[in-house]
Amino acid sequence: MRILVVEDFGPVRGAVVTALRDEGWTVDLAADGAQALTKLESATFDLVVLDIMLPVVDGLQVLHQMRAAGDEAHVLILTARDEVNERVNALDCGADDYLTKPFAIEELVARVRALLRRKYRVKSPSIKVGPLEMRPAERRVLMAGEEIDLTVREYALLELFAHRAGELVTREEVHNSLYRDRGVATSNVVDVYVGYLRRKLEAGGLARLLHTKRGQGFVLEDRDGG
Amino acid sequence: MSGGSEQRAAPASIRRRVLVGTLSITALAIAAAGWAVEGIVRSRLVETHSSSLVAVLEGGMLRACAESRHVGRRLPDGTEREWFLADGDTSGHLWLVRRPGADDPIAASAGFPDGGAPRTDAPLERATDAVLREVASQEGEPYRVASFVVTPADLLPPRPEGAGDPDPRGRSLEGGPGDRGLEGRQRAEGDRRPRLADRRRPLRRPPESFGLDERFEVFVAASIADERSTLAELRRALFGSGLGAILISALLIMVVVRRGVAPLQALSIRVADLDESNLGERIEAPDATAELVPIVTALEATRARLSHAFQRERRFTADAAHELRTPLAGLRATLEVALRRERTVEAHREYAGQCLAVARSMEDTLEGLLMLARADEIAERVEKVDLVDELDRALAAVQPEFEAQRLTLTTVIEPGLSPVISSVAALVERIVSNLVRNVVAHATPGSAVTSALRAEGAERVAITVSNDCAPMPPDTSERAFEAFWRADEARAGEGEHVGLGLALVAKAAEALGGTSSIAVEAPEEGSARFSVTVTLPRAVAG
Repeated sequence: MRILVVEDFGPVRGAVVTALRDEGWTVDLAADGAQALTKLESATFDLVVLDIMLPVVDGLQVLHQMRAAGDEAHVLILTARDEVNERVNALDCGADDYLTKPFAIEELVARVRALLRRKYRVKSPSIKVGPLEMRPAERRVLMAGEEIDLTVREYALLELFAHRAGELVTREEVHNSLYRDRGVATSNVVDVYVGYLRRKLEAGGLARLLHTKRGQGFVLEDRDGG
Repeated sequence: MSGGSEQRAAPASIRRRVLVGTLSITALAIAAAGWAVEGIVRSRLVETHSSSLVAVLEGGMLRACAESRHVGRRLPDGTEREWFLADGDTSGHLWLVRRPGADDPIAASAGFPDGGAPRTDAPLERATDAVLREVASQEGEPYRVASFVVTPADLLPPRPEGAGDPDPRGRSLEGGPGDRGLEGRQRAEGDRRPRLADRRRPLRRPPESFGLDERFEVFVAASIADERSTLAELRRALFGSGLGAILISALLIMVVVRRGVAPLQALSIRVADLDESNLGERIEAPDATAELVPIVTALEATRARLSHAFQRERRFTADAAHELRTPLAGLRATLEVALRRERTVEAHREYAGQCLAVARSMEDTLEGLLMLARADEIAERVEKVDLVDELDRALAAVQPEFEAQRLTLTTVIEPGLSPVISSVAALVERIVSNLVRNVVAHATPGSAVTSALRAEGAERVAITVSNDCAPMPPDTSERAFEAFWRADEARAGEGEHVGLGLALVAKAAEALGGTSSIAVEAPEEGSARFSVTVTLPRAVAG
């Protein structure tokens, strides 16, 4: 899961970035609208946290250009203005959610989580794939009712697969969600992390859930059960 | 209505004043006109009646005397009958004849009013002009009485030769048989006027004889009940119509005054309803009278001023809230992030440092806001301020930033300029330091900064600070003095987030009676020269 934080005020930006990284998501940052547009061109983001009052190019303009370019990333608007028409305007421009400053960082994280879930059309707060149950709000993963410990990276990876259960997740996507630089998708870090994750999921001698599609990517699905 | 102790007299009401004033004048005018009309009509009536009464008196007397020559004889039946006014047409007049000074009349017609012939103390030797007086009978009927003193012989035309008795004194009169029954009937008939036939009859017989050369006092009375009732009717009519006129004029005045005052009331309701929610609506009184128009105009001007001030305040408050909200969000987010996970001591130290920087910037913002709010009252403390000193001090304070950004500084002070002005030190310091800090925030690194002091006429000193910067939006020179406006913030990101600088400069300059202006030149593509000039008076007025 890759997130872009666009905010001109340093302390807010720093705190938001740290909080989101703590959740295991890959976070990029931009201090103004122009930087944001550059970043949006260079990578695909699942979600953009966007301040409205930005230097150079303001937030609504960034949003407008994103939508005009067909960028489907979810957008969470973050601003100090709390007038109703401002909120309506932002939502009408294509924003998905709105948060007024000052805000609780927990609320921001929860809204980001909800937006990510929505992006992959997952309504339930817990995702189930066969014996695997994932509860993103509690950051818990259960395997056949037994809780398993995952590192931040492993968790982020599993979250990506779980959100797109039954679908093919390409190596590029996996890499993209793990690393902020536009790296080489063939690098074996992807295989290394997928290997770690598989080992933990299959620890109790359980059937394989995370399948490899050679040369393409990975699919998380329960092929034994239903 | 709270507490009766503070009872104030009701303020004078225009409506009441106009009503009372106009009604008094109308009543006075109507009363005067009525009095005049009544007086004229009354005097005409009395004059006519009196002259007819006198004519009857004189004419009747003359005829009586003339007739008495012929009829004042012994009648064939041996009696002698001679009457004053016994005959002839007295047209409903009553009469009475008496010797001057005597109490009882010689003769009188029935119904002659009592007291109609009072005794006169005046000497009555000579014939007199008719005297008029008004009396009331016992029944209360009013009469007018004319009287004079006469000697019949004086009125008689000269007797023809050999005709009758040469000596009228030899003749005497003797009363005929009385008719008491008739008199009684007349009384019984009350108010009814005695018939002419009856009135010709003497009421009483002359008790004694008299001669034609004797003096008599003769009275003729006529009822003036008609005249009185006519006059009373006239008075009633005048009074009634006068009262009606006053009432109608009172109603008219009330209507007129009410219509005149109505727009005033509408206006007072409109003004009383004025609050921040409808301050933006014009005060209008389309039906205002000419006297009200200046008041409406003045109120509208006041409202427009207030509305403008209110909008400015509201915008300012919103901007201030926003300006504080952003650092507050940073503070909260940083603290929450610091606390939600186990962090190293170094990480906590870094978070604390960030929070401190934010707190300082908020402090600065708050101080600026307070200064903006109080700029007008600060302007009351005036002292000597050296502008060169102020500029040096402000530049010294930002020396590290100047060095870090490799800015070169040139200061130009006009030769012979006296830099000491009489002003408010706190505000001048704010102005100069904000100008310099604005340079630090926006100047292109490595560029040249110029500060200049020069005289602007005899009464003002101008401070100009110029720097190179990134290209500015076209409306910069109009908007840069607005609170919280920022043309470009690419470098203001880390903690330094003050949009008040130039707004403070403008406000402080205004409070000191000075001016502020901005010039943006674009000497080449991709760069701009930004200059702020503040002029300050040499002495703060007031």
